[in-house]
Amino acid sequence: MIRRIQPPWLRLLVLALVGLPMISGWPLRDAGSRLNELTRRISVGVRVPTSTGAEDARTNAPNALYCHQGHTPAHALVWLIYASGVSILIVINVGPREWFVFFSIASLLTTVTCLTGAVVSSARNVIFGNADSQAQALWSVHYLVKACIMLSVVPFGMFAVGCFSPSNMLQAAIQHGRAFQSLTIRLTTIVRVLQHVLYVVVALFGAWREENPDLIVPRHRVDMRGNVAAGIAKWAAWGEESLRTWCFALLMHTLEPIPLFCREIEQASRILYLGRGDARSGIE
Amino acid sequence: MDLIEANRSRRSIVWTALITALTALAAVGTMVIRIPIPATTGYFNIGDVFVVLAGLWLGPMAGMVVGAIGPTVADAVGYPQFILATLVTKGLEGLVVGLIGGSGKRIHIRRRVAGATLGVLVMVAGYFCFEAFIYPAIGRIVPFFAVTDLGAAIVEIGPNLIQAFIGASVGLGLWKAVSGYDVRGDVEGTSDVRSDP
Repeated sequence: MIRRIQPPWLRLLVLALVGLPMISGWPLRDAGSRLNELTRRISVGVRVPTSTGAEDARTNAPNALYCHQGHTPAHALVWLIYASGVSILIVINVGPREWFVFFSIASLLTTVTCLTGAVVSSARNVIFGNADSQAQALWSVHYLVKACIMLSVVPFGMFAVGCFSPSNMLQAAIQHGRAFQSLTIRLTTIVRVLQHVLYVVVALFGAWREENPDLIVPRHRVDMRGNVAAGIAKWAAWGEESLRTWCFALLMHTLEPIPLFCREIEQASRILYLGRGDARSGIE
Repeated sequence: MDLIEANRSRRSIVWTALITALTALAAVGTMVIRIPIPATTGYFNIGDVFVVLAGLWLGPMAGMVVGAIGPTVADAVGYPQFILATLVTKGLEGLVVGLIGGSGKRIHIRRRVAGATLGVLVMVAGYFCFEAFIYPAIGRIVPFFAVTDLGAAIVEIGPNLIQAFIGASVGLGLWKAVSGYDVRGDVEGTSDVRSDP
């Protein structure tokens, strides 16, 4: 139960240790490389790419692709195991319902990135004549690793933000005295705002789906039929409109309660530190 | 605690909250629509919208902080090789937008437009420099950064210009919408959020 670990700095340390592979890649990259070496030696009759585009680039191979280093099927497997572990950790801590919300957001972001990436890289391979199976396989593995990374980092980041209570942070500040007052208030404000942004983002993904069903829900697709050019134009218009309104709603819903948060934090901090006086007026 | 100190404290809390909110939005904006660019393994995104907004609305320092931290956090999710370029380039973008477009109320709209335009052009130029010259040079020593070269950097200018156009235009639109949100007024505790455009 990470959320109950006391003191808070120990909780932060535990979160940092769990998230270390996401930040540094260690030790997953090494583990993936070793597993990759093993798979080079073992032949199971299935041809999988064991070199990366970056390695090809160093040898100036003609089909050099700038895939990131450490993107092989072995690395994808290691990241998948790690992402599963992170998911289990989140389920244990917050329950399956909240984990599912985190995972849904992560899946959506991952799908957009990987699908558009697959489309763009395939188109590039066709246009520039790199459409050989090795190049396609390299890009597939590249996006597979990326998907595994995103499916572990996004849910963990959302979970980590919710691990700290702003009110407890203010309470803890009493024990440390005035020297840490400014820092603690700033940290409390940051945590409170981040938690609010997270809440808004999660809520607005659902709202976006409800308000822009034209190309998502089949029964709304009737008026999107037509020739290819008209279809693309409609897709573009739909994308632009839905994105613009979503950005605007995201900004407004994020900013709306900030004055209230600030006033709450300021009053609470003053009451906690002074323990007397009229906190509302700001005058002792 | 006297009135001046109380107001300073309120101002500090409000600015921290606003910068945090815009930083988080810049990170979300960078992550939510990612269209990978195979030539450089970089990606097209809409995070610049919130960097431009931060520069225009809160000034150069806030623009720099939001630009340097928000998109960099997003890069850490799946694109760690671009953290260095993003930290410098987007930080500079926010700084330039803020320096020219500013946060003052008397600044003319043309100067705001010029600030946003120059800021996003700094972003395009910054990424080009990193991908064409700096990353290949560092990549000879640290292979982790060996992901781009001059040719790839030239390819990415096009998508970056589209990204810059969207960032500047939508950023200006959002600034227009939130310019009624009087930061200083709120610090004095006299105004509320204007949530309608």
